[in-house]
Amino acid sequence: MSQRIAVLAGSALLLCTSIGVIHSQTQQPYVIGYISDFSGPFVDTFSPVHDGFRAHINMVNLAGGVNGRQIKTVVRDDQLNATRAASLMRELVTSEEVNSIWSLSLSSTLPGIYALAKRFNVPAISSVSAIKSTLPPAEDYAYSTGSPFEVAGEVSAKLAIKLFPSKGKLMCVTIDSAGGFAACGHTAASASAVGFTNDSLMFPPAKVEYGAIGQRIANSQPAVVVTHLPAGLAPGVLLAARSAGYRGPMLLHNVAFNEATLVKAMETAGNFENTHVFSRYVLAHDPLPAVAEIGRALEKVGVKPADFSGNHIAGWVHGKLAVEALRKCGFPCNGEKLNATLSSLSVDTGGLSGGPITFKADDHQGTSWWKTYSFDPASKKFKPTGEWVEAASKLAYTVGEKK
Amino acid sequence: MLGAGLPAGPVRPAQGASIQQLTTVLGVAGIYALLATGIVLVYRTSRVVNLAQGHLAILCAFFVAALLAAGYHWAAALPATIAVGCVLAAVIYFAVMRRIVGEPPFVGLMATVGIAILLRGVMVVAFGGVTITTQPLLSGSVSLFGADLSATHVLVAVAAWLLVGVIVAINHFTSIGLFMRATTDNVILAAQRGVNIDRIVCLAWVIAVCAAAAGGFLHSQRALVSTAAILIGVSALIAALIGGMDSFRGAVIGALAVAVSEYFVLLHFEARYADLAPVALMLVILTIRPWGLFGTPEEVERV
Amino acid sequence: MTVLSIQRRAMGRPPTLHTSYRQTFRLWRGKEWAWLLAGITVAVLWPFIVNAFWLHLSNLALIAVVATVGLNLLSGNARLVSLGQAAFLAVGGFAAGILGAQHGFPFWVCLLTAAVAGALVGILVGVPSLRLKVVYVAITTLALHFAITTMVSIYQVEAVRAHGIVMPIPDLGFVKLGDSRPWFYFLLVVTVLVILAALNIQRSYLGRRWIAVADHEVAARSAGINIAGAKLWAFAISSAIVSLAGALGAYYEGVLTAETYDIQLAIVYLAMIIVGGVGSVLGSVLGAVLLTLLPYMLDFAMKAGGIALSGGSLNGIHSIAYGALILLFLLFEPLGLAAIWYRIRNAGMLWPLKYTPLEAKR
Repeated sequence: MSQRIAVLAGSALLLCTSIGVIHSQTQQPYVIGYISDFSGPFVDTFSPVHDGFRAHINMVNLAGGVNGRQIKTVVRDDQLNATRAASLMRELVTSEEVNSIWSLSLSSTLPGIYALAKRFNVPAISSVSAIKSTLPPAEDYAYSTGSPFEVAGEVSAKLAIKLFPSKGKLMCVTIDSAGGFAACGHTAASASAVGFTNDSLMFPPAKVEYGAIGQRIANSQPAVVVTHLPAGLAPGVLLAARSAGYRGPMLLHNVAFNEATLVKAMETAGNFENTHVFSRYVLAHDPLPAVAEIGRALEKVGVKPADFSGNHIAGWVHGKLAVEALRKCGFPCNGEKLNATLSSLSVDTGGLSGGPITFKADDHQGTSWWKTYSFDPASKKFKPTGEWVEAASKLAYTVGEKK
Repeated sequence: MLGAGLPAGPVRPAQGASIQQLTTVLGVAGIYALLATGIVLVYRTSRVVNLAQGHLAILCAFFVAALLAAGYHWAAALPATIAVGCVLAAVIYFAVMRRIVGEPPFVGLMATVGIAILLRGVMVVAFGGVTITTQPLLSGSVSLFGADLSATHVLVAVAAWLLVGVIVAINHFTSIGLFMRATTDNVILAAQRGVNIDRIVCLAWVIAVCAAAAGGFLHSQRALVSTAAILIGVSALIAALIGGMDSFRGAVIGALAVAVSEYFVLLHFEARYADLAPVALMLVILTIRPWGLFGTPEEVERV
Repeated sequence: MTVLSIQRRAMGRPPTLHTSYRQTFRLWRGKEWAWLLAGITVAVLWPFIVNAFWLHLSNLALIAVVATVGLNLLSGNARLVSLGQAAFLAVGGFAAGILGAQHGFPFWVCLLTAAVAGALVGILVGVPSLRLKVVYVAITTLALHFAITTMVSIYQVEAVRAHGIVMPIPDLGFVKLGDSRPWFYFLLVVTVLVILAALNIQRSYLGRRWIAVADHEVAARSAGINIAGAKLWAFAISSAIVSLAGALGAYYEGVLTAETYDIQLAIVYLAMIIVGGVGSVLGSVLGAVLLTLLPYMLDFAMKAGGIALSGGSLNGIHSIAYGALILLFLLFEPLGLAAIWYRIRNAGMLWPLKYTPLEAKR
């Protein structure tokens, strides 16, 4: 009998809450699109980014939403396929009537998405990868909160000279792609300016056998190795270089890799020394209170504390920008209106970056700040070293410019 | 300032470096040879070119990594993976390969393509398509000929070549091997003389998949495992083609050629052409000797 | 193989009495008016029936049909299995990209050049294949795949310095192909022309020669067929059509990226001809349409079933579906969807009589 009462009471409660939910949702929600790689080769990057984004949106929705409205995210999986990404964008814009497309995946899918963004008048904002389209002079409807290879290249030499003032040879390692070329080109240009000599290695993205790459790094005997490698590849190169006997400092550009994977690669190589990361946003190992707060928010959407990584933080910041843009845009907020809002938006990251993310009419990337972390073998964590270093989105050097 | 006093790169004797490079190349070549031997074995017994060898290897690598990550000892995880490999081989043989015996070679080729893409899907669904690192069995380094070598690299090279030797020995010195060679030479005559072709071909698949599993595991010891790593199967196939599809000796030489050419281009020339080097080598050899270095010329006519 | 070809030809013909060879090979039997009218009506109305997204998918399917018809001539009729489909598509795409986007040549010139470039590359690959058979040809084309994809990605890095080449909007003079709707009509016309061309090639001396060579090379040679010529023509014509599809795809997508042309793409195209029907033009159409829509239909089914599309295994599910379809059709319906359609049609035409087509027993 008591069981039945409990069931009845439970269902009554459920009914009330669901009516409450329905009631609170009678106002039309904001509908935004989210396209990213959830099952392709970079799932370990983009799935955490989405979790971070989701956690922030979830938090805002629970607190009553934006301008009194909920945010509904329509998510699609592009599997890192440019054709599919473009198709999904068409679907989201025409069938789901989203006012913006968020996150996106690696740079190969970006040109297609940005071209469609302009055609449909729906802004597309990338979370991790960033291509030249967003740097000044920026293309219309193309935005990014990611780490552009060009900017990261220019800042990497500045950071390297701070960490390793002994100078000598700086070796830039990247994949053979337009982004990799830009990254190492700008690294080399700024490295020469601060007094390094240069060497670079570009290898095919499909490479799975890193033995020779590690050997080449070891043979070159650089004073410091800077890598601009997307997630999944950086740990492999680190492992190969250490296995080949390179013991010198390695400064890895955080192109959204997972700290845990990196630590594991170091474990496998049996070498924890001299590994440094530079990143546009703080890493999950950072002792900032804001980071712990994100960790708690992530647990609410089902992310285990052990899996917490810098990618989540990048996703969180991305979500923060989305919320602020919608707040300023008001309601109803269509693509054109949101584009106008974005093109003069400044969002404070709350210490997750060295400064606010600021978009201007001709600059859809904004000034970025970069921080270095060094691996501490004792605590098996990355510890912040030094202050934020500013990098302008206006490039200081011209590398291999072609029309 | 941090890192100011750190050593600026290693300074090591040249001889040590060359021995280290040799170990690396031998390890990679050993993994290719292991996979290629499996391809050759299946080809010899059933005239099917197995394009799924790399997929089988990486699927098994994912499986063993999952077991190790779940806390199983490697002494339990490895046999379990081999057992799964055997079951997989039996399923592939009885569900697919056995049903298309006697069909044109086109069908066999496409069947392995189908299996390959299916396995790729299984990998993503079962293991999430992520990139993983496996805990190495050995850590530290070994001193050999005055060079400090990574123990893992030595283990991989030794184990891979040992296993290749075992497979070749099975083929050359055991009665099962005799049946296999008989099947290779003439299926109908062998069947007439009482060789159970069904069992022999199934066994060839089992050995091939076990070789793939071992190759995948060894790959996971020295590099990362991800769905992209299935490309080691392509390298193994190129090795088998360079050597001749029906020759074990060819598979070994081919694997060495592929590994050395890849390594050499990556180390001394433009790294971006590294993937093309083995392909170019294969094209040159297939143009001059379509049956490969050690293959039988008649094989070209068969498939 | 021979049984398969006889079966294929028997299945393709309606079970009606023919009194001359010419009658058997006729494409237009004078009774297809109803079909033609219905087809034209649906085609004209189609862009107004479906929503924008499905129209986009229809356009993708039409491009895939062109590419599959091309591949089926090579891999189906001439039995030269090609793993180089993605490479030929890339040749077409980048020919159009280099000429149209980088140097500003007009649309028509780019399409024609893409086809010619494809044919030349095809002949280039065909030459080493002359001494080789099925499996080795497959491997040679796989080698081509790696060579071409590496070359185009290096071109993209070195010459364009961007992640993609933005294609201009094609101008046909009377209409600009910007929106999905004009694209649909344009692609439909191209597809119909390519299908007619393929049907005509198949029944001409050229196409019948391929089938003879594929069935039995020695017999074909003794019948006076120039084997090398036949194979090279197969490579040239097929690659020209596939490259044309590649160029169309690049223009339609608006952005050309080297990363699009991966080995998975080549395998999906092989799946299309196996599922559709090896050596059959109708099969190419059915296979291309089905497999282009398959991932989106799976997405749709999953969405309807309440499964999140970001669950982390979508790619795997698509892969499993492709692999399972390849295996199921190879094992249980080697002649593909086309055979199923012929069986239904023949049964319908002869009803209530029974008709058992010449079928190979396993």
